[in-house]
Amino acid sequence: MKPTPEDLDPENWLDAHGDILYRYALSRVRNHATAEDLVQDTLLAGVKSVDRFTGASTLRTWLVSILKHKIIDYMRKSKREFSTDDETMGDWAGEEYFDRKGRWKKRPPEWISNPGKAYEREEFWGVLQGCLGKLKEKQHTAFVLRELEGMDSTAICDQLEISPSNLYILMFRARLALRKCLESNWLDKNETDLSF
Amino acid sequence: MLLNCQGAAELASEADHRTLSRSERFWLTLHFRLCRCAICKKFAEQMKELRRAYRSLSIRQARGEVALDSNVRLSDEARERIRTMLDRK
Repeated sequence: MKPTPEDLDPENWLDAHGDILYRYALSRVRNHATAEDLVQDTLLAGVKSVDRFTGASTLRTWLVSILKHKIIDYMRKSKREFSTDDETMGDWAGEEYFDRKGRWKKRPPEWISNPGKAYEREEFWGVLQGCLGKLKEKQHTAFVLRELEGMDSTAICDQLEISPSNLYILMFRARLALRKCLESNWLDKNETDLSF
Repeated sequence: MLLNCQGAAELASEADHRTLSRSERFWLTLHFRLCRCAICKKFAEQMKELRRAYRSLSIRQARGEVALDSNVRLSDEARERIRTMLDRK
């Protein structure tokens, strides 16, 4: 579909796409002010390069792709501010699951055995957002880049200047922590739906 | 390289980032078969399913299809500020 002149008029972008861009940014950077700045930078960059918008995608998709770059840029710049707590061994979800010998302490609940149903629901996104909010900064960044943005692992290591093995550990911990959080916040509310 | 359950879960997670070596795949498969309660295999499958869910939700969010967080909006102040910046251009 060819974009209309109204679509291309930046005057309309803020009203038409501002909130979507803001939600997208906020779910990835977890900070209102930063998310607002990212939306502003995205729209400004869009205005500057509107000539390059070919209409091959929708205008929104095009703006989101600019925003993605801005988010990745922001994450690369803020990596030095990662707390050193992220590196410590204690307080990770693994202790809930595994004993010292690496054996399961308890059986993980039988959940999500039907992927089509359970988390195609929008409520799941809300619970996931809440759980993502609890991850440590570095785990959160790695997780967002890999699982939400689908970024290549090598590129993530380059961006964050971490070694591959460091990334694997971060991701494993992030996955376990999220799982644990989802188990208590999603499973409890939806147990009847999930026990098939 | 006999794997314990934690090691197997770690390796299953790593498989998302790199191609496992032939021997790693062998030990992982063996572990899945031996782990009597089959928790490990299930755990690895669930990890994959969650990964798919995260991606699909993320894509739908980019399209503006996930309506749950529709109450999250730019504040009036932020909107005004951005509008002023855009007008300057």
